[in-house]
Amino acid sequence: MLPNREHNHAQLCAALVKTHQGQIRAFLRRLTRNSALADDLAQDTFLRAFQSMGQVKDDTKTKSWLFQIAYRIFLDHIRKHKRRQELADENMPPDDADISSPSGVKMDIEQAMNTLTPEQRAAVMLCLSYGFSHSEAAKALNQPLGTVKSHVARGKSKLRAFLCVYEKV
Amino acid sequence: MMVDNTENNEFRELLSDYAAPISDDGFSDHILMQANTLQNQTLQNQVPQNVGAIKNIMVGIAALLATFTAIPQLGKLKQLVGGVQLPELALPANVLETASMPTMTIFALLALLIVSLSGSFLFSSDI
Repeated sequence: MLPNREHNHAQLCAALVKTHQGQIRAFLRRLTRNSALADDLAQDTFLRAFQSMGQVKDDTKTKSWLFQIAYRIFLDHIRKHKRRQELADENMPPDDADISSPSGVKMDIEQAMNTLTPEQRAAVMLCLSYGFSHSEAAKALNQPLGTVKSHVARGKSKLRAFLCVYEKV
Repeated sequence: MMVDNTENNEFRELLSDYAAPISDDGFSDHILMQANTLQNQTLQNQVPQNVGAIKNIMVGIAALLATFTAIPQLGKLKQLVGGVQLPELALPANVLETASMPTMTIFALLALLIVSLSGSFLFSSDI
């Protein structure tokens, strides 16, 4: 009985990581702007998720729950390593080049997104790219609904401003 | 609302590359392997917990046996304590009146020091 349950758990874990790793890693890469660090945080996210897999009964909420864990791990990381990160930033530019080699409009979007705070960036990504509703994003980011809405609105206006410049050129 | 949806779709399209999912490239396998290793480590760490439980049970049984052995001896202990006669000290009646205040204070402080030292010696787990 027990090995069967373990087998089921292992299968669920495998399905979870295979389904969501792409978005979770992309989300964390854009927040940290460092691929190696993002992958480490993604690993922590999934390992923590495996430990408390029974908490989520509703399959539709799994994605939101995973992003919630990922964002909390990201926040924990910046709190713990704030000073170290500041020192690293002084000496080293973020390895955005490693994530992609943008050109033209892509570069503008990336620049526009980088001007946002991580909280704003997270809200914009969840609502505009990953199809979260404002309330789902608020829950995942542990922020009030109004804050998330204003983050998204600010993100949109910055993107719009960048695009206007691009269209004029 | 319609404008909002159209606008959101435009932004979604715009951000499609920015937020594009990363390809797996062995990441899933790595995570699953890590999870397996962690699970095995947890199982190994559970062994000392069992040993601890057995130790606690043995200590409990020993305490119970000691109690059963000690209870019949209590009567004899009471007799022994009752048989002890303390020597009578012939203190002068006016000892408190004649003692000076500083001397009394020093003796009181010394007594306090001895009591605290012996207390820490007896009950501290570090010693």
